[in-house]
Amino acid sequence: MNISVYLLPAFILIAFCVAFFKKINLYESFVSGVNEAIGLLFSIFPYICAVLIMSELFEASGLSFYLTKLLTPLFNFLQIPPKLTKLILIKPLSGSGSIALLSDIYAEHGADSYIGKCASCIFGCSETVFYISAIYLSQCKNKNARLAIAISLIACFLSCIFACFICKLF
Amino acid sequence: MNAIFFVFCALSLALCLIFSPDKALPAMLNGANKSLALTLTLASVYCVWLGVFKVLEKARLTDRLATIFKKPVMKIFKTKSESTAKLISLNLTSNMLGLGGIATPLGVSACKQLEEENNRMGAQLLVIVSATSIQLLPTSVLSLISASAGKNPESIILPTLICTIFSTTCGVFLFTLVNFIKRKRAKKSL
Repeated sequence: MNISVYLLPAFILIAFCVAFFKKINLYESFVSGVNEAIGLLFSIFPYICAVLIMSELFEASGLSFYLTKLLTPLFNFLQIPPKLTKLILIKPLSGSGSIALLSDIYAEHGADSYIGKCASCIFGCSETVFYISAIYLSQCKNKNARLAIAISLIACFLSCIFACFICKLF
Repeated sequence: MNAIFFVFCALSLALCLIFSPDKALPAMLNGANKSLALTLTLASVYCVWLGVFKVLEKARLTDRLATIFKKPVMKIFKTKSESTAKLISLNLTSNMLGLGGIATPLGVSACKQLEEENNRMGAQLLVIVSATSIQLLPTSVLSLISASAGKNPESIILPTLICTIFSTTCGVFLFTLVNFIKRKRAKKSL
C-alpha cells in the first residue's frame, strides 16, 4: 500500500479540524480558494493548449521518428540503449505520450530488465520541461524563458546518461 | 518559448505537407482536445487543493511550515517577501512528495509574485528545480510497474532518487554557473 493513500486524507482532516477550532470560517475560506483556482485555470489554459498542440504535431508529423533516427548514433556513443532514445526525446514534451512509451517498454522488455529499470529512472528524474516552464512562467510578464528551458533540458539529458550508468550498478 | 514553438510547429507542419497532409489538422485538433480534457482534470485538482490551501492559510498553518523552510528558501531564491517564501516552500514540499498536481498552482503563484518583486532569477530557478523534478517517491512509475507485473518495483526507488538528485544539482549548478559568467562579463564591460 502507498503511504500517500493515508497521508493526504489525514492531512486534510487535521487542517480542517484546526481551522474549525480556531474559529475560522472554514466554508468561506474554502470557497474563496476555489474561486482563485477558477481564475488561475482560465489564465493557464491557453498555454496548456498551445504546448499540447505542439507536442501532438511533433508526434503525428513523424518529426519525433526522424529525430530519433538522427540522434541514435550519438546516443549509442553515450551508451544509451536505442530503445530509450524515443523516451528521452518525448519526455520533455508530453507527459501522456511518455507514459504510453514507458508502458510499451515494460510490456516489451519487462519492468525488471535493464532497459525497464533505465526507463523508470529516466522517467522519474525529469519532468515535462516545456509544459512546466510554459505554465510556471505563464503569469510572468517577462516571457524570456530561454535560459531556464535550456538549462532544464541539459540537466535532464545529463541525468538520462547518468541513469543508464547507474542502472548498470544496481 | 516563442522560438521553440515556431521551430517545432514549422518543422512538423512541413513534414506533414510532404508526407501526409491529411494528418496535420486532425493532430492539432487532437492536441486542443487533449488540452481541454487535461484542463478539466486539472480544474478538479486545483479546486480541491487551492480550497484546502486557503483554509491552511487562514488557519495560519502555512506560516508554521514556512518558518522551517523560510530562511534557506529566502536565501536561495533571493526573495524578501514572506508570502513568496511560503509559496515556494509549499511548492517544493509537494513536488518532493510526488504531488505534482498541487505543486503546479502553488508554483505559478510563486512565479507571479517573484516577477512582481522583479526577481527574474528566482522565477527561473524555481522553473529549473521543478522541471528537473525532486521526487522522494516516484509514485506514478511505481504504480505503472506494479500494473505491468514487475516483480520488485521497490528496486528502482534508490537509483531514481540518486538520478533525480543528480539532475536537480546539475540544473542548479549550471544556472549558478551561467549567472556567475554573466555577472563577470557585466563587470568587465563596466
